Amino acid sequence: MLQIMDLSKKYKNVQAVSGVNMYLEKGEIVGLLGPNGAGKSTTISMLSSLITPSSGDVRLHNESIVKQPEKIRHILGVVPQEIALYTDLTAEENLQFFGKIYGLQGTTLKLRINEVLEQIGLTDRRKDLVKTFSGGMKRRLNIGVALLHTPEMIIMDEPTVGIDPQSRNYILETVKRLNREQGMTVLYTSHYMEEVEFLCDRIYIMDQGHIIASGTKEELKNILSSENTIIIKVERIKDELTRVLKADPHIRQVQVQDQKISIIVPKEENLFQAITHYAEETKTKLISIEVKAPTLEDVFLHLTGRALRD
Amino acid sequence: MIFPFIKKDLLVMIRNRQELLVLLLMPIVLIAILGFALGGVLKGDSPNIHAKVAIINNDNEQEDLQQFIKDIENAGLPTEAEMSMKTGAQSLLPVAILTEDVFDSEELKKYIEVEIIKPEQAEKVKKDDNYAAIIEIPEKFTYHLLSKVFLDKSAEISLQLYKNEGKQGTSNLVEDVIRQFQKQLTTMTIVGKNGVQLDTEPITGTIETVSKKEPINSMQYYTVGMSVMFIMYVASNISSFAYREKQLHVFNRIILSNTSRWSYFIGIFFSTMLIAFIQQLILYGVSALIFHVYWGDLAAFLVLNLSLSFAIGGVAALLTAVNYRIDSESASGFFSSILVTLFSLLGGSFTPLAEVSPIIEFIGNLTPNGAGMTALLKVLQGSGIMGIFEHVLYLIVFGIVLLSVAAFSFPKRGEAI
Repeated sequence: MLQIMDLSKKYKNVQAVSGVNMYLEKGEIVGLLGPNGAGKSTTISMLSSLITPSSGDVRLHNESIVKQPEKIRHILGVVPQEIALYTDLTAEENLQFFGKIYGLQGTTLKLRINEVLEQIGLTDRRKDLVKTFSGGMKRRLNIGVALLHTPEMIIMDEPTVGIDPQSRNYILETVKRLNREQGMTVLYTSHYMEEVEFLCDRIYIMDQGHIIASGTKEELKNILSSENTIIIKVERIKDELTRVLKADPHIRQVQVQDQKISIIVPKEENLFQAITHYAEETKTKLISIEVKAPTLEDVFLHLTGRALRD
Repeated sequence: MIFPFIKKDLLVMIRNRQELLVLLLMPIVLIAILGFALGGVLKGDSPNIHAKVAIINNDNEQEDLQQFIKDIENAGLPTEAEMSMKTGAQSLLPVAILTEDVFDSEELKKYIEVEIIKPEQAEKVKKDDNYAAIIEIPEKFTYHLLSKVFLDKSAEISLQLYKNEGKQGTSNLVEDVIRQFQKQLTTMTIVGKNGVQLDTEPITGTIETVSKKEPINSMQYYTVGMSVMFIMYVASNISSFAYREKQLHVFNRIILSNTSRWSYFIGIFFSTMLIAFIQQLILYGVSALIFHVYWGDLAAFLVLNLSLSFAIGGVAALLTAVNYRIDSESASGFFSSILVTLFSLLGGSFTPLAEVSPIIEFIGNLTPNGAGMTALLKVLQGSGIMGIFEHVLYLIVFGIVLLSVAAFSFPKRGEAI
């Protein structure tokens, strides 16, 4: 359905996106995972025809988005990372405005507005000004506007940033339902690994403008099939402990977060004794040592040496 | 496709109380303050006055003098009296006194520039708005005056003064000068009779206004002045709002709906035009109810306000294009904080600055508010559509030019957007 070929974008001296190749099949939910500043939003802006790539092409149903953006825009629904709504209008007035500029009229428009308000759970608040909405409600309406013209494919750019867990779950369930019930193709970008793991069939991991890995969740986690992630919880993090762990030739990655240290080690290595020894040597009080199954977060750590939320 | 944009802008504007206060309440308050407090300014004069006065001279002074001398010689008067009258007559030539002693005096020539006009050019001059006043001297004026003064012949001696009500301050000055001239002639009449006071009627003068214009009072003046000033804030408000659409990424959504930049742009133009027009109708409606400022020719009033709103639509489109190009709201900010004040000053919203010099009047009329104000004052003075046609045409051309420049400057895809 969608093919992205060698897509690049350069702003003066900054290479925001470099040689990105991706594809999406009809009915898939594909995740684009990466930390802030990885180039996800720039990639999405090029896919949705808002900015022109420096090189490469994007083809939707074999039509070039770069050359003929007008032809494919009605197939796409784009949910921007920002709340792109008129806050002085009501939810219904926003939907009416965007519906009309998408060419919907009369009864069709009214029906679609009712359906969309139902889908995003805002039917009761349709007459309220958007500026009186909570962050989660605004996010839901932000998605609703993109669904109004019944697109075949929806591109969502970090649609859950800055909202409460309840609203986040509602949005994730809505995306699942749209895909399951309407067969909608979804490209979902996030820096929340758990969202991408929950929603997506296939995942692209992006960092510093490049796609550094891709595949199904299992395929990506298999990157770490020969390694284990060990979480060391301590009473107080000490620099000396981090230093000795990094110096150990058997430990491949060390990541410190809160009162936890994540290390990636080869599966065959048993480092419990060594870790206990390092803790004693640096006078660090250990709380627990846990070996866990690899996550996408670990994959990202393995690939880049940095955490997703760095 | 443009209608949703207009509806959206109207809804947003109606719900924004702060902007409504600026666009509607503030001008009403200022009309009241300026109208009551500065009412006297319109009737007074500024020391920087420069007035052009035309004298249409139908009189032939030397011919009249010779005819008067013949009359004396044929009257059979004693030689001494005859000689005294001849000498007196030569020093009582009224046109020379008016042009040389009065208007060419050191005191007046700083303020008043006199042009002597031939009778055949009279009609053309009367239609020329550049003159603050026109004085018409009738045929045989000198002869009738001398005959009345020295021979006590009965004759109606009258000067005609046409005042330009568009230049109220300076035309009032000329009227005062003419009244002084009448007094001077009456005094000289007494001297001319060698100290013998005659029971002569004073020399009369009739005063009319050019084209029979109605005078403007301060409340009318400031109603127009403040309305054409605050209409400009509609352009800065709408263009700021349009830029915020870009910041909020709503503009991207609009582009993704396949709405052309042209539709978006024309939407801004028409939204501004409509909101500006409604604003003007509300302001003039309130002024009619509270300050009793009424409009004679409603068709001319409506056509003029539509064309002024059209020009303001062009301003909003240009400000939006510049904001988008420089990726900042500063074009709107500069316009509302600096240019609106400057344009209002030049256009005459605060004081009739046009009377200071023709150059300032010309520059003022280049601003949309100035052109609108001049034309609206003409409508208040009784002009119809034909009387304001040139201003209407100018405002429409102004709007089209700005809209075209804006369309040319608006960033294309892949530039600043």
